Order: sequence, then structure tokens, then C-alpha cells
Amino acid sequence: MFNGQHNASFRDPSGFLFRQDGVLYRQVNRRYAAEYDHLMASGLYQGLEKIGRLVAHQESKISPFKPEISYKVIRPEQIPFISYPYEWSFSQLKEAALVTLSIQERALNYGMSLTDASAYNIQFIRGKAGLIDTLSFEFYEEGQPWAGYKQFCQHFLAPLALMAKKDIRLGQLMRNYIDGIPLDLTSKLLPGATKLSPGLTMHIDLHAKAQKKFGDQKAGNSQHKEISKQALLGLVDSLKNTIQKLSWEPSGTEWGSYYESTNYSDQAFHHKKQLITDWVKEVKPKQVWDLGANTGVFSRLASEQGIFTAAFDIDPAAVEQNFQQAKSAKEQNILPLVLDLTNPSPAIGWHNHERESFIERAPADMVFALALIHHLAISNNVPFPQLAKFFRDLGTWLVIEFIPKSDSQVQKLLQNRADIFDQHNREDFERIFENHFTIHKKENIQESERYLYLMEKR
Amino acid sequence: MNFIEFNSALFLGMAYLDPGSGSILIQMIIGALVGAGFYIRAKWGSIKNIFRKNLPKTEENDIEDQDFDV
Repeated sequence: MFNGQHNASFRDPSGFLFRQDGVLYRQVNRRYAAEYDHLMASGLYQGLEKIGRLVAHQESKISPFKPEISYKVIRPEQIPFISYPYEWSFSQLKEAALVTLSIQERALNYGMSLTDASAYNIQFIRGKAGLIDTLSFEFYEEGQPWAGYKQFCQHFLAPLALMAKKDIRLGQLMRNYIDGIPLDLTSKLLPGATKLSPGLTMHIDLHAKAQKKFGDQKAGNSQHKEISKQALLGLVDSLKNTIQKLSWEPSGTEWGSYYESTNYSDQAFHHKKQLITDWVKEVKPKQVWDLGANTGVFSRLASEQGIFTAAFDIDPAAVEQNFQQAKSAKEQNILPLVLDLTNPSPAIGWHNHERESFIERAPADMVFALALIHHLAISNNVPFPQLAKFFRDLGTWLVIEFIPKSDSQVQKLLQNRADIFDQHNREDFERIFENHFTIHKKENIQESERYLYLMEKR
Repeated sequence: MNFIEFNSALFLGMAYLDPGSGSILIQMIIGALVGAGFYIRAKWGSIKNIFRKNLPKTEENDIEDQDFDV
């Protein structure tokens, strides 16, 4: 965890984030004083904060990090886990997009406008997408165009359109293009039928053409760069409608029917749940990471105890289902995220420091690795010593399930390949993991050959 | 300096991004295209609201999460 100025907080001269004694603060610079005061006094902040769409903050008395340019220091609500757009499912990115537009609409009615429209300014707080950059508002003057329009299209509209119209996996392009997917590339990748959507044609295809044609020209004199407030509200409304029409239905998912096709008996399933629930109650972690969480059945054993739980899965369809379920039940403690454990999110951006890698966001208090390690050990050929080191770096406590070769799920993985996995047995597994962990509990899951372990990092 | 003067002095506001000249031009064009329709729909909505009874308008419910359509 960093100390001092935040590595991703350097572009906007209005202020920046810094950490002191483990607490994250935001310095508001003097040049932003009038905007900040208007945000707070106009009711814009209060309204958005009340509905959970703008991060809450309190003014702090601590010394500013750069006193010579400081107006105030604020202490925003601390967010348990920072996630990135390439880790969100379709509906999560869609919610983040619509929230950004609704905030812009509201801001315009309070004489302000969003200076940017970065997907990285949105985080999920208690299950809801909200803006975390309190300094994203500038004064709005009639005639002024929206400076964040291009960024909005690249960060939100482009990935959503590609995910909905072409392939859900194209959302991963966000990992490569930190400032959003270039619109000319998006336009090339979208299928021709997209031309039937006036919204996508205007905001992506024509937008890309305009960028190419007028890219390096001055945007005309002041008379010509005016856009009336009505037109601007119309623009935001048009973006909203375009995004609302985009949808994605998970189909043909790898895991969608996993729980039905599993080789578990009801008794085994119940016993496994009971063990996990008891161990979570005993350890009382503040934060749980469930790796290979599928739709979050076991994640909820922790989140329903009021523990913040990040539920990672490689399958965007499972994450989508998990998020939909969390939304409809208004769950506040579960955050479903897309993650490929064999190639987890890297550190990206300037100096490789702007967006943290998955491992940099560790450790969690407790990690679940349920019905997982055979996938890593066999499908991805990761030997147990490497697996043990990986889990050691992720968290303090580990709830891990061992599935022997004789299990039908493991047999499936081995059916078309040579069995080169001599160490895939319980004895070697325990011996190797004990190099890094103390095994506190070990239970055979009833009516199965599977074992569940509670381990603590040495 | 009053509020209007302050704004005029800072027409570019606190924007730190390059909005892109092509992106400015296209938003003016799209805004002109969709602005009128949006205006009519917004007006029509407020006319309809006049005839809607049992719709208490207070500061409290002025901002609701439903506004956010998500």
C-alpha cells in the first residue's frame, strides 16, 4: 500500500489523493476553491451523496500534503476494494455509464458539468456504482461543450457496444487501452447491422470520422464552438437511450449450469456450506476474496454475515448472473468481478502505477479456493509449490478444497491428455502447502472424496 | 466578481482533458439534431405532470435513485 500522493492522481490540477497513516485523503487545491464551494453549497453534493451516487466525504483537519496550493483536505469514505472496468461484467459497466450520464444531467441543472467521464472515476460502493472523484465538477456556462464527451464514448459506449453487438470478451480491450477503446477501432469491429442504431452511428461511427477529419484542427472560433444547454441535455439523453438499448444475455456459458451438472450430493453441498459458514464465523475476516466464485453461492456465506466479499470468476456470464442477483436482492457486501487467475489484471498506465495489478490489491483477510485448484493445477499445469506461494501472497487465511484425481470433475480434465500430475494427491498437497501455511482444520466433505482445509499463513 | 463574470473569465472552466476538436464538432451536430426532440419530450412530460394527481413534489423526493434509470 502506497504512502504519500496516489500514483493515479496527478492529471487534474484541481487536487489529488494522498494517503497518510493508512487513510486516504483528497487535497482540494486553491484553484478549485470556488467550484468546491458551489458543489457543497448548491445541494448538488448532498443530493448525489444521499442516493449513494457520489462518494461521501468529510472535511478534515489534518495538514495538507502540499500546503502551498491547498484549499481544503477532505476524507472520502474508504472503499474496501478498488475494481476496474475490465473487471466488470456487462451490467456493471452499463450501470457505471448510466450513472455518469445521470450525474452529468443533474450537474447541468446545478450550473456545473463533469470535467471528465472516466470509467475509473466510478466504483461500486455497497453494491451501487457511484462517482468517487469529488473534484470532477466544473462550472457550466451556456454554450460550453462537454469536455468529457470523447472520454465517455471511449470508456463506456465503445466497450458496451462491442460487448453487446460483437463479443462479450471485447470488454477486455479496456485493459489495453487505458483511456478507453479508440472509436475508429470500435467502428471497424462493430458488425454492419449496427448502422441501424442511430445512436451508435452518431456517437461512434460519425464521431470517429469527425475525429479523423478534424483531429488536429482548432475547433473554430468561439462563436462556432457553442452548444446550447438544450442541445447538450439532448446529447446526454441520446447517449442514455443508446446505452439503455444495449443488452447482453449470457448464453452458452462454461459454468452457467455448473451447479446442476456437479457431482455433489445434496448432503455434500450442505456439509461444505456449513463448514465454510462456521470457519468464517470463527476467523471473522473483514474482507473475503472468493476465487472461482461462479455465481457467488459460497461468497454469500461470507457476505451475508456482513463481510465485504469480492467474488471473482473467469466467466463473464457467471459474473453477470452474480451481479444481477446482488442487484435484485439489493445486496451491499458482495462485489462480483471478472478475473482470469492464470493471467490476473496487470498494473497498467503511467509508470505501470496508475491501475494496480490484482496482486497489489492483496492481501485479503480470507481467501476461498473452492473447487478451484484442479483447474489451476491440471488445466493450467501450475505445480503445487507455485500454487501455495500464490495463495500465500493473496491473504492471511485460506479455505481451500482438495479434489482428488478419482473425482469425475478431475477425470474430465484428464480425459484427453497424459496424466503428468504425480503430485496431485492429498499427502503431497498438504506437505507442500505446509511450507507456507499452518493447517488448522481438515474435513472430509460428507458423501464425497473431497477435503476442505482451513489454513493460516505462516 | 459576481458569478456570471467569474464564469466568463473561465470559459474553459477546470477542464484538464483535451476534448478533441472532432469530438467538439460532432457533439454540436448531434446536439443540434437531438436537442429539439429532447426539448419537446421534456415539455410534454412536464405538461403531463400537471394533470397527474397524488404526485407530491417535495425537496425530499426531488432526487431519487429512480432518476438514475439504472
